[in-house]
Amino acid sequence: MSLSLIAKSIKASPTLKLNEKFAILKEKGDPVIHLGGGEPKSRMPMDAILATVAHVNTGEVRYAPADGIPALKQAIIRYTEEFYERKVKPENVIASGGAKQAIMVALQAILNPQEEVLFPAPYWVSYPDMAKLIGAIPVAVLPEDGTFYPRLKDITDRVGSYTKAVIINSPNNPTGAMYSEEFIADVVEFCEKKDLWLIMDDIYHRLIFDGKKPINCYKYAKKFDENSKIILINGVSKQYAMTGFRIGWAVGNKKVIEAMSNIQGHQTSGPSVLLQKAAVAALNGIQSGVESLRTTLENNRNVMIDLLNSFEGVKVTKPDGTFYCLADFSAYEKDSNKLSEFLIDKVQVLTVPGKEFGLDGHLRLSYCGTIKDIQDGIERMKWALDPNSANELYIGDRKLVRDWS
Amino acid sequence: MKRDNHLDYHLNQIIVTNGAKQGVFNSVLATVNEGDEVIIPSPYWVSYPDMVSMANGKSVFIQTKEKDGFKLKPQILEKAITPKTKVLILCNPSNPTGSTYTKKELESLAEVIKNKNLFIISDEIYEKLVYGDFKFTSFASINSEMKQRTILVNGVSKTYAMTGWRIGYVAAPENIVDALNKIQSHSTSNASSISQAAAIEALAGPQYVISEMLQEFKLRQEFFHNEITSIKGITCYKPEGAFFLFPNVSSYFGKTLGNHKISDSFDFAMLILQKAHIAAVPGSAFGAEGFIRFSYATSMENLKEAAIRLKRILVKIS
Repeated sequence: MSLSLIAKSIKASPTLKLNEKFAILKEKGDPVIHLGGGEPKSRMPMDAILATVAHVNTGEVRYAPADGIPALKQAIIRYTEEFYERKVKPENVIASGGAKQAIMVALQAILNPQEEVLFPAPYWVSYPDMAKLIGAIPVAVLPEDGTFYPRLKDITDRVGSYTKAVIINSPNNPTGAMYSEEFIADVVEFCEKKDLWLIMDDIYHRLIFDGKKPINCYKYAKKFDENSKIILINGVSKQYAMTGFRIGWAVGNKKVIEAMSNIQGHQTSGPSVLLQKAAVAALNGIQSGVESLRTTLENNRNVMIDLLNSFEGVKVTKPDGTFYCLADFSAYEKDSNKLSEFLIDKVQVLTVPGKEFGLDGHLRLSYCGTIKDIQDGIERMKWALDPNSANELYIGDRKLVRDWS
Repeated sequence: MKRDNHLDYHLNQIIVTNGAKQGVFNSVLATVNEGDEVIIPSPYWVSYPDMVSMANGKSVFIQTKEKDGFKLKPQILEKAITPKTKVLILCNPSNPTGSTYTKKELESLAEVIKNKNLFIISDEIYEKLVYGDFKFTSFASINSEMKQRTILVNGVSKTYAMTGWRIGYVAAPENIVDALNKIQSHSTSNASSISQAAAIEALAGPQYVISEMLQEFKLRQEFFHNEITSIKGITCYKPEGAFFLFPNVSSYFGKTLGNHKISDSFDFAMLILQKAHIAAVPGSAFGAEGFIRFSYATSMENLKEAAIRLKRILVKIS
């Protein structure tokens, strides 16, 4: 008896695997620093905590509609109006178990086996495996000019008769690059012209720096309402530091949302009502937490980029948003898996190999933790990699000796 | 699983899912290839066939009989197994019929499966909802070979009335759980940590709430079963578990009430919804035309009122 071809074709989410590894090392009492994380450390909004507790106290945590409770849909409608200047209806909205599930059911609703979904590289780790889960073909497009900023031509060159959808994730995980307004306009226009689905993964859209403003993809759309083939993805995980609540959503035309709801209905029955109530409170409540998180992250980014800029041999593109950067370590080691293993083994710093995002020779470093984590983490990496380092490094009262070259 | 079913599983043989539903869904995805056959005894839970279609598999339904208590017979199962069969989905106790297999019945199914190349997805979400002296048996506990073949699905929704928390779990051999973990890691990530914390307390805490709930359900089952079988033209198997009754209402087909013509279970359900304001699910939704599913997971008061209304309306049908 064997597993299905699909089960055999996909690999586990490497970032989640790293989280497990971190937890194990931490439990052992090892002084491990997590620069591989994907969640803010800030407090979630008080409104959300209170709403959760209030609902638990009713003692009635029951089934909810598979596509989301009306109150959450209303909050998402208001959010969409505020950030995208578009008034949508409840039937244009689905709440899912994280933005991840929203993307998953969107792909299930629009792709047939063998059809292609195209996305710029470096890409979020789950896109290729999500496509494989439904027997579709993931096509990753690395910008030809060697930057993290794709141009329309990178996309158009790879679109063929099997292409059914494009995924754009900006600001981007893992690079932190926020694509230009011009590029977004081009992609929206191109997808409309070619009648392609366009999935806009906007999960980081408010976590942007240097005075940048969130980009509204609908501004460049000519097809509206039921003719629109844009599927807009967002969620509460990153901006409200509510990763464990698992609430994301999608906005799209009525037909595709209905199909997604049916799929989700059979897959999980939709997210827990309790967690949806928390998301409603976060979306409708006091928003100051988002801005303070954004400022913290911008400051963290500055610290990390300064440290990396003074790290000889390392090249890094300054991120415009998110809480990641993807730094080039190929001068030290071209195999990013090997390098990541080396760093965790020798100096207990957890990083994510760039290979997982479609770009070897790089490491994804997160700055969602504390400044101290960033400083100590980069210092340990430098000590481990730079051949001119001192022979010893102290972590607390542990002495590490450099027995490699 | 150890406390209640004497089953030993390691941590890497267990995955926590977003409801038992995700457990079944991902188990199908992890085992079924395009064109593979999945045997589903009918009446079946509504989501199974759709889950199989989403994996591009082929559902093969085996119609069970009211006189057999809607249970799958080994000789019929044997005939349905082909070289393309990959999975048997067993819902035990069953939604929608409430039928529950005895240990002996499961052993005789295991005998048939023994030399066949297939997995069993054993959906045991209603495990605790069995009545009287009936003793529930998990399919995985039949023997060690069956444990190797069984993907056991369960959850806290029904046992602890925690539907809205969306916590289920799967226990299976390590390679299967590993595959489920991969699929889940890309489709939803983990089940919410809050809900998992609540589920831990439910599973580990005092269990007396279950027996209280069972007594109450048993009373309701006895009452509603008596009421509906006292209606002329309705027969109903009295099941061992779950909280459903699945009466045969086919004797009403072809008859009318005013402008309402009753030609199938859907018409019957619409009629009692419109004329008596009773919501029930037509058997056709579960692949069993001629029947209707009543849930008695509602108050005794509601059940009493429903019985009165049902009798009042059905007597007028000619």
